[in-house]
Amino acid sequence: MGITISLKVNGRGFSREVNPGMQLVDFLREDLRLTGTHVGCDTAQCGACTVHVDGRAVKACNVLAVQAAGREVTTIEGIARNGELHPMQAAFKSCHGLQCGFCTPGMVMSAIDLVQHHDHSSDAQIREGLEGNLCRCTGYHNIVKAVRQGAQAMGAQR
Amino acid sequence: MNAPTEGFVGKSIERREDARFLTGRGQYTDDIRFPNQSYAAFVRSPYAHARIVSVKTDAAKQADGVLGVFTGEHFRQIGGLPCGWLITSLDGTPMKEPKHPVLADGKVLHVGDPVAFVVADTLAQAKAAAALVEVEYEELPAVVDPAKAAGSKSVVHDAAPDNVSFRWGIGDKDAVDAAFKSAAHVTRLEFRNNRLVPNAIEPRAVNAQCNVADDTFTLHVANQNPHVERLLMCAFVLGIPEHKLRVVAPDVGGGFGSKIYLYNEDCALVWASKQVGRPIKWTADRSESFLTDAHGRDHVTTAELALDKDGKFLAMRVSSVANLGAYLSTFASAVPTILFGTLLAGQYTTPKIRVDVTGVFTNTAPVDAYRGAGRPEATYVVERLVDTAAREMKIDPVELRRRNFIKEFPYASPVGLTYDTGDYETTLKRATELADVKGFASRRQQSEQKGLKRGLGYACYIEACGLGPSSIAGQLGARAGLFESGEVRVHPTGKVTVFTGSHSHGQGHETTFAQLVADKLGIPMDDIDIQHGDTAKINFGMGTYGSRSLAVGGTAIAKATDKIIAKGRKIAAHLMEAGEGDVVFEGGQFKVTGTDKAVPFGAVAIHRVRAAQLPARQARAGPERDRVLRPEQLHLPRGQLRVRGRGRCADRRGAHRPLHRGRRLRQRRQPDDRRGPGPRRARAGHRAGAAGARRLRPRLGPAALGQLHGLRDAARRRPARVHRRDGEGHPVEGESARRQGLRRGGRDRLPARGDQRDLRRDRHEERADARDAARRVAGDARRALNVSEDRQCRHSHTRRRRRWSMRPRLRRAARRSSWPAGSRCSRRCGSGSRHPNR
Repeated sequence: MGITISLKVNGRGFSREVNPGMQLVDFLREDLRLTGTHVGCDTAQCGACTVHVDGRAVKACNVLAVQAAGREVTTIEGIARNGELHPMQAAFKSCHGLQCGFCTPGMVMSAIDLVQHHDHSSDAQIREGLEGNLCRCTGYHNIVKAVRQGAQAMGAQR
Repeated sequence: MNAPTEGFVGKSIERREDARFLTGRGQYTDDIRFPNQSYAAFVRSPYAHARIVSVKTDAAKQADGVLGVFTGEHFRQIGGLPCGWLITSLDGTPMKEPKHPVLADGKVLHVGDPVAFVVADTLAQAKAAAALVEVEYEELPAVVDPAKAAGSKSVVHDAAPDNVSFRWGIGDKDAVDAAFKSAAHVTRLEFRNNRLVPNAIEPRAVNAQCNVADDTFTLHVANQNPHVERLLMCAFVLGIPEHKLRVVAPDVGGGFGSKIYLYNEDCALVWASKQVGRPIKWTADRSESFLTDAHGRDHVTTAELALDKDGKFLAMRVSSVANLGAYLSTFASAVPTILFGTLLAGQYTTPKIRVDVTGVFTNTAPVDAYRGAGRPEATYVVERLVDTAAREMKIDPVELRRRNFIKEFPYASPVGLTYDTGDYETTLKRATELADVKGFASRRQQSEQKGLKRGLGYACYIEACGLGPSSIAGQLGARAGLFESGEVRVHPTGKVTVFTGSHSHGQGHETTFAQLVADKLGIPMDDIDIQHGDTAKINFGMGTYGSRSLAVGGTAIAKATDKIIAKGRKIAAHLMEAGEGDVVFEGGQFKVTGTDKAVPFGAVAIHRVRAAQLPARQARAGPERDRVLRPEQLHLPRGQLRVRGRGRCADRRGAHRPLHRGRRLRQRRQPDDRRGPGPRRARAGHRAGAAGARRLRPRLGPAALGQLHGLRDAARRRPARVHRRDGEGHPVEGESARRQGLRRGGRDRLPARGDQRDLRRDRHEERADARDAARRVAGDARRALNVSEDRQCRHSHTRRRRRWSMRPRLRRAARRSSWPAGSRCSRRCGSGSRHPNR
């Protein structure tokens, strides 16, 4: 007894029948095989599954697939344009803002949302803005640095 | 010089792996889905300690999509998960190692202990069916506090009725006690180094499949050392022939130690994949990770420091109870002992140290290595003591440290390590400058005015890293070697693939190792690919932990690259019609010194394949590859046994040898019997006698635990036959070691040294020369032609006598820079010095 939903993911339209209890993250990972969005916890604390729904960051493990019906979802696979990394991705690369890479997709998606919709003028604000994303490798310093650099690059691009 | 020749090492280079991680193209275990994929869900104990009265699986079996339900009964005849490090108690008895079953059978010993698992078409179906498994428990009193575990009425394992696995200790107890009696001041502390959960951001994940057509298995697993995982699973648990199991550790989202170990779920899924005939995937949810990943630390410690009136340390006495959890995890026993006790000198000249460690079982998740493993625990003990003593004696903590710093090197600590060099005063001085200690008082005052507290503390850390060498680790109880493999394969077009036994789970090997090889070969990094984490691709590996990847694995690659260059010089010399001695390798080009003749690396590579252009004796057609499987493993880790980055440890006799010399001595005098089992020792058992052969050969079935002891015993066994020499230098052949009065351990455990060794070497050289002469006389043209100019015998030489017979010749060859014409591998492999199979 599935429900058919239609939505746009990374600019492409999909129409799929899903179980009403299916989380958005499972829909993305299992049905669409967009495995860049990761699952690191079962309590919505780690933020590895962060994606954009209608341009706002959400934790995809806390949203049902049916809630995304009719919306536009962007995942980590969809932010590079024409083979060019998104400025935030490029900043993470140049600032060594990642190690094992597992938290990185969520971190980048949250950082973009932070820069686009919140005040991020100080390191403290960046740290607060990324509170919902956990990283076990880096110690966050380089992530903050990357977000700062990525924000500048995004500003320049606009 | 062109761009690549400027060198890569030491440059800041953007990581190559980042591109895929940043675009969501990483392939972590849970990202992989095979056709016909099925899923597993585990039923876990909600009790810390309980008897399993019954497990009812009927309802679960009937549930939608269920392919199989498995319980402890299915694994009763299968081996337990082994522990890789034998610790011997002070009374000489081996540690107690109760069976660690794949699924709990009869009793559950900690919350999260797996009792059953369900395999179903979908994860949701598996989870739903797992909820239908009815387990009836009879709860038993649990012991969770390590301080109360020893002698508790609640017994975790019947095999360890006092809950004690081992009572270990090092240091001169009487001397320490005496020093305490004469001390002007004694600082005493009791504290607990709390347990923690490693919590890698990627939960543990397993995807196992069996190809029933040829009975081979493939296991994808989030793991730090796939070869060790395969070895342990095959030899000790499931009894699968090792060549029938491929273990792949793809992109792994951090480990911090917790993914070193062999886990129940890994074994359970591999076993069940054959039963259900489909790939099975299990990924821990975070709650399961908390319950079942091996935890870290958990020591209860009493520590005392004796000082004279000037604050000079006289002695230290440490007594720790280490919580091992409910079962011995893969390296659980080494962490609170070898990796803890030996670091208790810290940076200080404490002349007498005594440490006692009791390892206890409790009804808690197993405890094993986590970030630093044992060494942070030791530093915590030492630095807490020093800071407390400074406060009690009203001496400035910096000053107290200065008075006690090691200043003369090499320094042999009373707990077994030798520090070769260090400058602790300078680092502490720099730290006080960086922390602006002088300005602290005013900062504290400012904080207080705001109603805030501000503190200042010191810690001087020291660590032993790059774990190894195998010989020393073996003497300390390691059941596996601590070497690393590195293989460099040059393709005909000059591109290079590097295979390493290390594993990257965030460390960036794909960049660092490529940097290293590019630097040496003078070719662009883009021409180099790094492969790791797959037992089907990489010959063998010990994996990544203990800060050893670059130190040990990287050096193995560097050595292999050197060999490639050495071979390239021979070919280049031929191509340029120059003497090999005149060819140098610079900036990616082989050049003839003093001329403008040069051939690039890539040209040499292609000539290697167009073998027709090479003289017959150099033509080993095909792409060039070179491999260092045991890359001087006996010295690399020794050299890298770092104490603040530059240390090394003494050899067994306590002498502080120069690194190079120490290595060579060790190689020569260490007979294979002492090395313990290794992948290349196909005939290891022969050397340990018939009983050893039986024990060493991994077997199937329930005797797996017995084999574990067998391996240990074999590794400790002295040679059955030791060739001693009488006064005139003639070998006393055929007499058993025991009859010769040789003891196990100590210097006598190894055959001839010093003069005896020289005698033997001379004799071997004489024999080798005689053989060579005989062959020349016989005019064995085929063999003579096959002898390559590099004279590099690549035969594996697994038999000891023959292996040893090579050593003096190799050494002699090194002295003379060339071998006599016609010399060949002493194994008479029929191809001169170049063995056809390699």
